[in-house]
Amino acid sequence: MLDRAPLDLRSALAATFAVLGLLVGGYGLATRNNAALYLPSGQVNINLRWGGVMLGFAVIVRLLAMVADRRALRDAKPGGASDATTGVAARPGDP
Amino acid sequence: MTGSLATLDWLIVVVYFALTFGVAIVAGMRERKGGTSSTGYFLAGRDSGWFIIGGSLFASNIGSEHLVGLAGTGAASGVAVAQFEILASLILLVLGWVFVPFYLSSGVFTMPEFLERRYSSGARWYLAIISIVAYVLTKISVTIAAGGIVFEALMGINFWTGALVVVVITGVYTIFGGLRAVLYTDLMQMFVLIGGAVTVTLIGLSALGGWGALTAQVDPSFLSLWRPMSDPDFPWTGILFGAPILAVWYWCTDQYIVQRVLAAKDLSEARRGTIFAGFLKLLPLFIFVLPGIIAYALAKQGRLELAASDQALPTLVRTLLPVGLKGLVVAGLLAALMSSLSSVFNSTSTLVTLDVYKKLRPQASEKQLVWVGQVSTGILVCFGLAWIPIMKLVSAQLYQYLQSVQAYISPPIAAVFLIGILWKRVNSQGAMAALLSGFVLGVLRLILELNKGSLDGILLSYASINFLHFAILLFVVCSMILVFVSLMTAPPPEAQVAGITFQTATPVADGPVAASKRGWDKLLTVLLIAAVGTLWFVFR
Repeated sequence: MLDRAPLDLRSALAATFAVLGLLVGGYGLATRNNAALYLPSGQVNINLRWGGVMLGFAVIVRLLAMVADRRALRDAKPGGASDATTGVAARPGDP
Repeated sequence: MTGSLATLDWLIVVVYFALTFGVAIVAGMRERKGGTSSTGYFLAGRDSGWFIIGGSLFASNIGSEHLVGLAGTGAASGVAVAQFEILASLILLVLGWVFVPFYLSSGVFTMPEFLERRYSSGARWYLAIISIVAYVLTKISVTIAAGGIVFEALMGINFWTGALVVVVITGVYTIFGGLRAVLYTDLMQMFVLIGGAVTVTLIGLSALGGWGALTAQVDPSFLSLWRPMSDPDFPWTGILFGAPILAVWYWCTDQYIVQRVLAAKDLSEARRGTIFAGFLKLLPLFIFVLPGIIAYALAKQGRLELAASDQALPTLVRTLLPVGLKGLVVAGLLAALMSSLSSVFNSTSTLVTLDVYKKLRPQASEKQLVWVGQVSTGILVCFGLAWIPIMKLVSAQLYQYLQSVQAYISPPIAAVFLIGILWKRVNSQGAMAALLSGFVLGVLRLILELNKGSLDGILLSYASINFLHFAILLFVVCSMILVFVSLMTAPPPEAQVAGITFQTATPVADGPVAASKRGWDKLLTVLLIAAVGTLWFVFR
C-alpha cells in the first residue's frame, strides 16, 4: 500500500486534488450561466462536473489516509497486530 | 491557444507546481532526518510499497512527447501504435516474475552492477558508459526538446523559456530529495496525468456523439491492433517478436525503469508494483491513442481543423476544453514532463556515482557517495539546460535518429541479461563478444540509415529493414554469439553464478503473509494476461 513513512502521500494527494477541484469547480459554479463558454462541450458545464469529481476523489483519499492512520495507531499499541515476515532474505548489497 | 490560456489556467498550473515541489522537499527533508546513506538517496531507503512503485513506473515511462506522439499516431493510423503499450503490460510481468527475484536477492543498486555480478567488470563498465552517454545524449535532450515542442503547440508560449523553469525546478527537488522525492512526485503526477487524459477522452467522445459515432466515422482498420507483415510501421511479426526484445531491454534491464523496483521493501511489494504498472499500461490505448482518433473523426465531421496528425491532442484541447479544465490538462502534460525528467536525472546520477565514482574510489564514505550523487545531478541539470539552445538547431530528422539510437544497441543488452539469468553456462567472454558485436552492428545500421540515399544492394536492405525486424535479427545474432563464444571458452566459476540464475537460485521459503500475497499476485497476473488477450481480440 501507500507508504506511511516518511510522508503520508494520501494526505498530500487529497490536498492537491481538493485545491484543484475547488479551483475548477468554483469557476464552474461562477460561470454556470455562461452558455457561450460551454458551447464546445455541448452546453455541459464540465468545469463544475470535473471539479466535483476531483473534490470527491480528494475526500475518498483523505478518508483512506484517516483509516490507515487509525490502523497504524492500533497496531502500534501493545498487543496490536505486528508486521509478519515476508520471507525475503536480507539484501547483501545494503551497506 | 495563447489567448485562451486564461489566468485561471495559469493559476492551476502554478498551484500544481507549488504542491509538487512542496511534497518533494518535505519527502527529501524527512528522508534526511533518518541520516545520510546511499541506500536512502539512491533507493529511497528500500522501503517503498507497490502502489508507489507501480505509479512511478508508469509516470516515469510516460513523457509529454509520449502523450502527443501517441495521439498523433492514433490520428494518422489508428490504434495499432498502442501495441507497444499493451505489450509493456506483459513485459512488466516478466520483470516482476523473472528478473526482480534475482535483482533483489543479489542486492544490487544498478543494472551494470548486476552484470558485473553475473559476468565481469568489463560488462559493468560497458553498460554503465553506454547508459550514461545514451541518457545524456538521448533521454535528457529528447525529453526536454519534445516537452518544448508540445508546450509551444499547446500553450503558445516560448517554451524554451518555460523549459528553463521546468528543468531547474525538477533538478532542484531531485538533487535535494533523491529517489524518495522522485517516487513521491511521480505518484502525484500519475494521478494528474491520468486525470487530464481521461478528461480529454471523455469530453472528446461526448462531443463526437459516443463510441457508435466514432466507429461510424473511421475506417475499420483504424480500430485494428493487427497489421500485415508488410506494414511499414507496425507489422504483426515485428510486434509479436521484435517489440518484446526492445521491451525486455527497456522494462527489465534499463536503470531508468528498474531503479524503481529496486527501491521496494521486499519481493512481494516489488512484484505487485510491476503488476499494478502492467494494469496502468492498458490505459494508454484508451486515454492517449483514442483522443487522436477522436480528433481525426471530429475533423472528418468538420467540427475541428486538424493541420497535422501531431496536432491532434493540442487541437482537441484547444477546441473542446473551457478555461479551467484546460489548465488541468496542461498541468497533466507538465506532470508527464517532470516525472520523466526527474527519473532520468536520478538514474543517471546513480550510475555515475555507483558505477563510475565508487568503482574508482571503493573506499568512498556514504556521505561522499550522496554528495557525488547530488553534484552529478546538478551537472546533468546543467547539461539539460545546455541542450535547450542546441536542440533548437538540431533538425527534426536528426532528433528522430537520436531517439532510435537505443533501439539499435538494446537487443544485445537484452540478450545478455535474459540468457544470463536463464542459463548458467554463458560466461563473461560470451557476454563481451555479444555486447561489442551487437554495438558494432547497431551503430553500422544507424550510419547506413543516415546515408540511405547513396546505398544499394545488401547495404540498402540492411539500412531499410523495419526496426522491429532488425531488433529480432540483432537479438538472434547476439544470442548466437553469446552462446557460441561461451561454449568455446571455460564455464563461469560456480561462485560467479551462485543465486543469480534459474539453475543456481536458492529457494526462499515464503512466510504465511508472503505466501498469501503470492497467491493474489498469481491471480492478478492471470487477470492482466486475460485483459491483454481481450484487448487483442476486441481490437483484432
